[in-house]
Amino acid sequence: MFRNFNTAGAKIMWFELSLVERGIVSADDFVMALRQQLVARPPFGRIAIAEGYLTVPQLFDVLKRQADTQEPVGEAAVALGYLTISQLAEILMKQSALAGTLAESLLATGVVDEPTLARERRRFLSENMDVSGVYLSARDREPTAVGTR
Amino acid sequence: MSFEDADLVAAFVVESLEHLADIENQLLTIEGAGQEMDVELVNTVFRAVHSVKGAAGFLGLQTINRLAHSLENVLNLVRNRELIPTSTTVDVMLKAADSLRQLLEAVDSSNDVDVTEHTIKLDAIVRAEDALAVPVIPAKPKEKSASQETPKTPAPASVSAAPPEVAHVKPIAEVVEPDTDVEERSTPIASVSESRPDSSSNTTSRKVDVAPELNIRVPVTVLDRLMNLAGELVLGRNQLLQTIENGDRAALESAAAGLDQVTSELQEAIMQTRMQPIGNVFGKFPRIVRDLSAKLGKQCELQIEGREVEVDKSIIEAISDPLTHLIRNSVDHGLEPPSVRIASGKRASGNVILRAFHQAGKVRIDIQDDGAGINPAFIREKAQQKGLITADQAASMSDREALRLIFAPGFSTAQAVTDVSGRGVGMDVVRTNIEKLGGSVDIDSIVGRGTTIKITLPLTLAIIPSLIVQGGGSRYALPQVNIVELVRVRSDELAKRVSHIKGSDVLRLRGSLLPLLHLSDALELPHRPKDSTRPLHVVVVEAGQLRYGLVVDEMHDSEEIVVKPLGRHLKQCHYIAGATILGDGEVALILDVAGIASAANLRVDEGRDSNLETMLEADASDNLQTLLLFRNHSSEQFAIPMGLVSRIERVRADQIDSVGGQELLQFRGASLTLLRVEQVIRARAAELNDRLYVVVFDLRGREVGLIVPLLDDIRRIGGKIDVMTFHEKGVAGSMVIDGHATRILDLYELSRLAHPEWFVETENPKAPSRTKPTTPKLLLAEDSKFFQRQVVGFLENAGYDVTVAEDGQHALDLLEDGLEVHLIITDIEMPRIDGLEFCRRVKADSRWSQLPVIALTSLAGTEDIRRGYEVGVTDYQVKMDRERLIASVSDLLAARGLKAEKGTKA
Repeated sequence: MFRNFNTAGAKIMWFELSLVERGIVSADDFVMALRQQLVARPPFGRIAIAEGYLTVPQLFDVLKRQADTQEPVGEAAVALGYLTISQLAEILMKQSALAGTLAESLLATGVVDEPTLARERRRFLSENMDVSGVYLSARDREPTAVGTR
Repeated sequence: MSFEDADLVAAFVVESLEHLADIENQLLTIEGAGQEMDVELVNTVFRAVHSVKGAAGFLGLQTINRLAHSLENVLNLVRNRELIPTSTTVDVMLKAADSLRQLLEAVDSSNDVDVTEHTIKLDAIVRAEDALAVPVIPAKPKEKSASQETPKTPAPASVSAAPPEVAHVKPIAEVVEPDTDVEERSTPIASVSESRPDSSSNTTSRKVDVAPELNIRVPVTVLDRLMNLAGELVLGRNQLLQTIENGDRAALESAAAGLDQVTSELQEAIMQTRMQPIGNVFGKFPRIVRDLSAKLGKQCELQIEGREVEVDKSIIEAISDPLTHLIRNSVDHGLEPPSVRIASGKRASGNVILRAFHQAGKVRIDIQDDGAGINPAFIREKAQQKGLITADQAASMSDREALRLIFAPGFSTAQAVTDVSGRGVGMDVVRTNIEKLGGSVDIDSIVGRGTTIKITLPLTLAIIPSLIVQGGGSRYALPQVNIVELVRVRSDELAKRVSHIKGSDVLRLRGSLLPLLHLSDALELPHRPKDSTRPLHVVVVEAGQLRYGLVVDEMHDSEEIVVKPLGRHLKQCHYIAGATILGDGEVALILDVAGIASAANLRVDEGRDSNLETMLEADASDNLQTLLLFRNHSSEQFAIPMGLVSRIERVRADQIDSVGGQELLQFRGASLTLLRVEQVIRARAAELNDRLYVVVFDLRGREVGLIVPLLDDIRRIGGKIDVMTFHEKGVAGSMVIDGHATRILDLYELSRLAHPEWFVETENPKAPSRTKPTTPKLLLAEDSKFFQRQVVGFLENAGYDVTVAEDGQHALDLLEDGLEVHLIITDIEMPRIDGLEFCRRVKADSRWSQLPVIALTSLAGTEDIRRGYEVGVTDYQVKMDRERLIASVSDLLAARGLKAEKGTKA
């Protein structure tokens, strides 16, 4: 429903941020959930071979390079010429799309329970929807709209 | 959550196994180098394990991921030189690597396997190292607890140094299991989580190599070639179909010729896809040698040569077990314990060399150790005790023959059957297994110096040259490797040459008795009605030490057959090795020579009995020799001493080309220069049919063929050779054989007349100025002009400088005159002073007593041989047996540091 990609690849939603601001989720728990969200998404290499971007022998080459350079798999694959930059981006997009939402991660880590989350979501939507029922995206907001709350 | 895509997982397994293929040896190398380890090698291993870990993670293979991760952590310490590997830590790593490989081989169930046993040990090494990393006090390492010290101890130079470490172990859990094995106790972390003795990892780790590989890597170029040939095949088929429609005979023939060529090339290309480097098998031996020598308290270095030699995949798989057995044998029985080695002036650490190389279209594998060697006397005694041979046989047997007894069934040299190399199977099983592959095995050993086992293997098993024979109305294929010679006994000779002894037929062949088996009897087929006017066709076959004559109804041509395995229901038929489809579409069974013999209860010693008889009843005549009889023109008979013949080829007349007046035989991709009798001596022109024979002989390192239109017989013939009647260059002498005046050809002279240019360099070979100072000089005492010429011929051909004496007296005179020689060869029967007396005088004189003396006999009685040894004869050789005489000369001279100058004369 709400798909909002940011550059880091993880979905940080205004809604979840509002939970922190309202004191329902602590900053530490938020970071933990963020980490959990990153860990739980399918690994880059898996998507790369499952979707046919890399062959298994190429993946081994990439990993061998990585053993020395410690760089991320995607970067190593680009450096070896196995992926173009745009393919790298595609895979990252797919990876992000396959990741669960931050809210799911908050639930999974037990930071909030289901009823609280449902209640907060209703509240958030009612506060952030315009009269026609269109959700206000970040672009449309005043930068201070959230921060000052 | 295992991965859905089976193809990806399979690709992962192949790739991972390949990356880990050499990890065992790499770890051993790292261990061996200790402080001086090659960090780049560690990096290679690290990268491999890291990528396996990473890829396993991507595929959801958690167990593999976890184990690889723990292993990677240890390797990371090693590559940063934070941990110097010891045999203890390397042991843990090796076992982890074994386990990793097992997980990969059963990847589907890998997630259910418990690997904590390994991860705990690996993690403990890392933890111990981390703990150590904080309070580094290099000055006083001894004061640290043992658990921390163990991994830090620099690697010992040799694996056998492992046990001393056992002394200070295990602070983490204070309990030391008294009966756990050495490897276990020396692992500092072993008992952290478990107190049971761990044997599972030892027993399971061996199973790894057994499973045949299901995947094979093929170079893309080979695949491209295959694809291309497949295309050609389709084109050929189209062409064939079209020409059949047209009924155009000439086009049909050309289409068939095209298909023939494409098929051969395709066959070759497909063979190539199956070729694998033999290093794939050799790779596991360093670990085996390491573990075994540690277990036996010996020190051993394994040196491997020729890993890149390629052989068929099926051979690689089949040779693994026999080789393992032989390598274990070398370490277990061959090498002495360090104390014994030092006492006998050797280095404490023994050497085992495993070497593969190509030799004459076959693959040779040598396993050579510098151990105690095998004492033939001991073998004789042992074989006698076991009832394998009689005392007489033991006495008459040469050392070489005695050594070969270790391959005889029921013989085991191990004093006690150990679990190391004994395992209840003997060398006979090794031999049988190698022979099943169409190979052979031989042994050489020098007491105190070591033993070499030599294995010869074919390059492939799929296609073998065979002779097609007929028995009981069906055709059978007999593998060429088993065939020694073909003998046709004419009907009028049957009574004379075939006798019935102890319930079985024997053939008198060149003075020895050969047991005969009838193919129809062996296969329980109906006999063809006896017909005394028909000749008897005998295929003399050999399998290991077994030699017998297989009597067949007919002999057909030889063919390259494609071996098809038999169905399971025919596995019980020991006399059949497989089946093939002949050119006309009929199925032929492939005979198993050894199987037929054992089914007929033929024993090895039957052959040997006959040898003994030969020795006793041998013709005392000095001139007895084996001659190949042939006719060039039907009215003229010739003979060639068989000892000079390398082989006889049967060829089609159209295989012979004439280039600039010189006839050449196009043969197996090379051309052979041909001679004809009438070309050089006065003889009638040859009568050539479509099929003829070429007698091949070796001339100063060059192969030359003599065209022989009609081959009559090979016979052992005694009698006086007349050197006067046919006094002609190229003719050594003449004899009357079967009422025909028969000229005995001098092949060297014949070649010299036809091709003087071949001899330019060595013209006048006896001129001292032409003789290099290093050329070994031989003195030959021989009264017969004929034998003088033959023996000098082949000795000079082999690169020796020969001086001839007419008899013993003349030879003594020459020595007295200061002739410098390195070895003496003497005939026995000679006028004035005979060979034995001559030898006695030589040995009695301090100036010459060191000279080796070879006595030439024509199968003299054992009494003569005994007397000969009494007067100091070093070796006995049969006069016309060129190969053996030359081998003997070269061995005796080699012992004195001399070598033939073959290179300069060729």
